[in-house]
Amino acid sequence: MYEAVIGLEVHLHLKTRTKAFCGCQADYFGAEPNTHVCPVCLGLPGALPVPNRKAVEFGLRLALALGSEIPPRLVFHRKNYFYPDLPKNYQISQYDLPLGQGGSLPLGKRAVRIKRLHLEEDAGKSLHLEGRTLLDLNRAGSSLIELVTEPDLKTPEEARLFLQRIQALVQTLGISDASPEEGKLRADVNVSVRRVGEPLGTKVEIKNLNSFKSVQRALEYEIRRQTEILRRGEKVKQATMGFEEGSGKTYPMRTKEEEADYRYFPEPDLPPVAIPRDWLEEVRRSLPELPWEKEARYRALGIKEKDAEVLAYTPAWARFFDQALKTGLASPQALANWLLADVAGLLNERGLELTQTHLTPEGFARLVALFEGGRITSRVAKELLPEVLEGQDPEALVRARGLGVVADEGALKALVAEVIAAMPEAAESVRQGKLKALDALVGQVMRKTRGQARPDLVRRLLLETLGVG
Amino acid sequence: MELSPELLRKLETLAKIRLSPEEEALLLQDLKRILDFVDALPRVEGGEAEEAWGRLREDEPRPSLPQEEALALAPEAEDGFFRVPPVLE
Repeated sequence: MYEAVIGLEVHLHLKTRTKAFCGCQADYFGAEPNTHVCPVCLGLPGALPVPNRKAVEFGLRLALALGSEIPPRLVFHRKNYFYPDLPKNYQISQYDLPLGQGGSLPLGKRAVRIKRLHLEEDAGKSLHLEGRTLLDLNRAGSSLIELVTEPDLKTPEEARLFLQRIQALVQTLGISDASPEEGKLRADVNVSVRRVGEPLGTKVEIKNLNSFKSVQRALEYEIRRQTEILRRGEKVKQATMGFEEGSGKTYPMRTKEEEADYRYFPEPDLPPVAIPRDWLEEVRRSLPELPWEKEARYRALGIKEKDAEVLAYTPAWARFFDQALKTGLASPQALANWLLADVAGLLNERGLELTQTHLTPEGFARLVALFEGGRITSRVAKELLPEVLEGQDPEALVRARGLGVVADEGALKALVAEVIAAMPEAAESVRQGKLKALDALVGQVMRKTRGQARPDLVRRLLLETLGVG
Repeated sequence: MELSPELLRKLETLAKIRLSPEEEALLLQDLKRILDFVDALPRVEGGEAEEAWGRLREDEPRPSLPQEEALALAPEAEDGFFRVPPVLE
């Protein structure tokens, strides 16, 4: 029996307005190449970097949320390597005194331990063409957090789930968009396979995975590959691998420099910066409710476990849901049901995000309240949803179209008598205790009310009139 | 620290430079002298050296260089990009 041991390195692009060490705008999306550059991020001689306070604050937010230990001072190191997209030939990073050490992220019933998180700068982008390489340094020097886990993950699905959790966390903290498709969340994975109970096997690193799905697929392939090698009685070679989306296979990449070759040393251009404890306290106080705290609050409101989890870890929905809750119009579980089943289904069908519709938390809560209060049937509520999604007022729609539930027992009783008279055989069956026949009668009454009666009420009235129950 | 010719050659590889044997001999001497100089530092009596503290910058955008100016400093450019020898074979 073999098992995998997985650790992750996650790079998160920070949502600062400017780069990590200079005033160039960090929002270079769609800009002409090399228009967001200056002497500092181009690495011109004599230019001096100055750390961005916001980037440090964002790092502190994440470190505090994860319960990491934060040092009293901020120290940067140079990590030296040669690649043309790194204009200074070194990356300003952190080494032995990272912004956060330790901490953990809850994952189901367990917690994945965090080894460290540190601030660093990103490199530029290379464009490899025939006989030459072109460089766009707009991204060079923008602010990143690198977060490294302990090897606490066991399956590819867990690795994917962890990344989704980190994404939800940093979005909730407002420090990163963490969108893999824009390159704002990139992951490297470390994976080894061993026989259960034996010491750790040789690990292989898979680099530059740019979607949650690739992380899962690359791990699935690599775990199969390593397991087969071990089954044959051979040894896994330590390697750095890439992942090819098309074939779903990993392949060996250039061997990485060893750590000593990076020649880490304290960045002489950046003297240490004090991190006063009162600043930490201020940042701690400004933290929003964290996803796992949200989940616990939803559970306490009586929301089902799975629903509470999905809502808490989908920040845009949690925000919407909290506002709908605040109206106090409908019960938490009813709101959750309608949001996660009906609204989600409709959005999915139309390929829309919640924020791309005109659905307001109030409009949504009013619609759910109309149903929950018995004023419209679930069928009518579902029918109205597309229009409510376009910003229409559910109550106005119900009034204008006479869609309100027929709750007038007198009116319903007349219809019930009519249907019994029209369907004597079904009525007789029900009298004899064959309750199956009741459905046909209920259906007929519902048709006569154009679906506006409450089926449970119709049922009760039919049974009463037929002298059953 | 002992500076061997092997270590010097490794440094050459890392620094992506190629030295002639004459240059290697010269550099080996120079580097040894530099290392000796640095080795002297720990023997200095520790005075009350004051630790330098850095500062942080507010997250306010400053103007970047115009593209032409940024590229003017490069040996080669193409279509707004810096151009360098091919990285991938």
